[in-house]
Amino acid sequence: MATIARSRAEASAPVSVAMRRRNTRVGVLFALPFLIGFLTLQVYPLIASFYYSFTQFNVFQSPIWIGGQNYAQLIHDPLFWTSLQDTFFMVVIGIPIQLVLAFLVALLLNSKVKGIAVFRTFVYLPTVTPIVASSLLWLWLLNPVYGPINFVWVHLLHTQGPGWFATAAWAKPAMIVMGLWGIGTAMIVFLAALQGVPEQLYEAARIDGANGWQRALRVTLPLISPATFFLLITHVIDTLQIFASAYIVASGGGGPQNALLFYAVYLYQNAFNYLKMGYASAMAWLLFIVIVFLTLLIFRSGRRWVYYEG
Amino acid sequence: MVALPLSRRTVIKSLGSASLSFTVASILASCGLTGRPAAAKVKFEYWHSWSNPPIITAVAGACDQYNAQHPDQEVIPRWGIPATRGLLAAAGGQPPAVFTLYPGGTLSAWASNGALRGLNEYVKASHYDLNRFVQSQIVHAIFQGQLYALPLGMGAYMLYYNRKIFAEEGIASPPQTLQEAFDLSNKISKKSTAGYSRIGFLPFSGFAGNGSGFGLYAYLFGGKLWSGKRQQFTIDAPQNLVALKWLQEYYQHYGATSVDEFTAGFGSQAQDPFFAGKLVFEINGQWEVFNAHNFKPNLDYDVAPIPYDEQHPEFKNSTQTRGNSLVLPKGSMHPEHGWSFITWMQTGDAPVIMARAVNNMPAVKSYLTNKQLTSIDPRYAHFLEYLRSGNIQPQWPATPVTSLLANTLQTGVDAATHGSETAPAALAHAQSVMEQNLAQAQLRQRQP
Repeated sequence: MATIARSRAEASAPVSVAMRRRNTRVGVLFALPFLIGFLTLQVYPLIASFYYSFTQFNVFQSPIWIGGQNYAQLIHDPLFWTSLQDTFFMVVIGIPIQLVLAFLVALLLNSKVKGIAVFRTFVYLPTVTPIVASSLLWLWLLNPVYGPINFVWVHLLHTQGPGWFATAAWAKPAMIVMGLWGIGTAMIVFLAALQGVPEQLYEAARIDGANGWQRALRVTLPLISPATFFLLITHVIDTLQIFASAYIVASGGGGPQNALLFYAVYLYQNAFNYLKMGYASAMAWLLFIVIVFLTLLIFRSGRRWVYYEG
Repeated sequence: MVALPLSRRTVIKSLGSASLSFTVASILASCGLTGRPAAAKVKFEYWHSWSNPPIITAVAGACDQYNAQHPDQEVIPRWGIPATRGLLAAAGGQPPAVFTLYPGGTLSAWASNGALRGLNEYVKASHYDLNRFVQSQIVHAIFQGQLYALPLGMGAYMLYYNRKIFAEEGIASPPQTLQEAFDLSNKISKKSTAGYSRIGFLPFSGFAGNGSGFGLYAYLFGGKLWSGKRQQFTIDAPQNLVALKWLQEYYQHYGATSVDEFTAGFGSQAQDPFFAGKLVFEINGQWEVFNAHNFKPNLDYDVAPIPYDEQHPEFKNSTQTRGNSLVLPKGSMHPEHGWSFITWMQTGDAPVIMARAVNNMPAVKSYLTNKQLTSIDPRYAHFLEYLRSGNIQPQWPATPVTSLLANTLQTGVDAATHGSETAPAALAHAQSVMEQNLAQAQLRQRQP
């Protein structure tokens, strides 16, 4: 009995300073592999790239300080503006289409019908396909001459199908169509949000005489707005950095008349094709600023349209 | 069971003395003090980016031959290494002794960035005769008076034409001039509501891109992209403008967007547009002969000289060459052995083995008549002969910013042929981009 009482007393005694220090030391030691990796592989390159953005640097020789010349040159570089234009097209046109479609599909998949789990799996499945495989698949599907989509187009509409990735006018719409293949992630988030909307709110709205459209507008949309907010931010950040699919579709180039020269592709070309690491670093920092600015803007706008229950 | 009369202390002592003896023996062996002759074989690596088995085998075979003939050396081939990785290895101070680079951009960019060892001292010391090579491949490799590479193999372009379709259309011979090519193409092109099903000839088909092809057309119209004398770009020169206007008219005649849609249906291997009859004649490299062997063995075709501009008959029998080069990255531990290897690769069976594996041609002139090569195919033999007698130019000038040139020209050519920019504006813009980048590269070179 006496032993049990003593051990209880020890357990409830305040942890000594030495013990706390030792715990901290052990904690830091456990975190050290991550900290070393984070500092050397993330923080240092980040700071170094900021310095390089003010230099002319080709990897082989020591960088030459040229002040803000890289930034000044960017402003006069038409391809920089082309790449920004191409990227913003995807943000402004592509993201709304993706989110609206993901929401509509989530609405459909929220219904209680037999085999719904199978349908959900089918919609989600493409998101686990490797990007190289899906890009090559879509290159074939959207081939203007022997692609099955244009085959159906020609036979149904009796007119020549779009040029898709082969023409400047259709290249970005084709990228958006290809992006719709991967709406599974957004759909899952919307679906989870939809399932969290309390049924009694719909009942109350119905009693008040709200029709289906009004219930969707006044009940569903406000209550899933945190999910929409999250998806909007992550989609904007991802789309501003679009690279792999465009690189594969355009074989590392900019596509027809640079219609697929997205910002990250042009950044890559400058860094690794032309060895203009300083210029590419300046591009990376501008992209970082744009992403921060847009994220803050969305956060600020969120105060007006995002509803957090409670 | 019988217990062994060994105490724990005895076992530890025995193990200790055994490991001590082993360590001492190892040290003595490594210092060459054991009385046996030391194996002083120098090992060095050769990196290349090829990853298809016939080339890997050919390179490995060549390396084995080299090693057999040089018992004091061992060259170890490493395959599938892209230029970017080689670049990072060189920047990190751990380059291989020898690397394969392509002259179209990377070679002069690496040379100007100080990543490559100049070869003039070796050429001078060994009285190495550079006249043994097809000169365009040496021009590729010289940057600011310094030789940076020896050729490994080369490619060139000629006009391929489908003899069966020519006969069906009543065409007796391939076009001599570009203007004839345009007329013939119009005669045999086919279009329906679904778009073109056949176009006689497309000037840029067969090239890696419109930018790569423009240099050839500029040359055929009497222009050039770079002045070696003034060390300046001459993209907006009047002759280049004539070339671009001709190309612009050509593509606008067919509709540049319609051509884009048509060319998007081009495949490779058996779906190659020339094999599939979608193009009736095209400018392409000698690799197409090997592709035809593999994927369309019954194709009735032949090769002919590239058509010239009727105003410039002096450019009859012209072509441009490209290829692979062997370089010695700076910072390698074994530059002398590297030089020995890259000169050896120009001798014996090596050029023939490599040409057969890579489907290109040797850059050493004496091999252009090699029977093992000329007997492969009459069309391939025609290429070899063309290199001996034709008007041969390097595809790209050796400048510090050549890697940027193809994309810049492509942007300009695309804009002009699609009508989004006038031809003079497109060339002026390309000129300004290249001048700006050249000025920056020269700023770097002026630094100590």
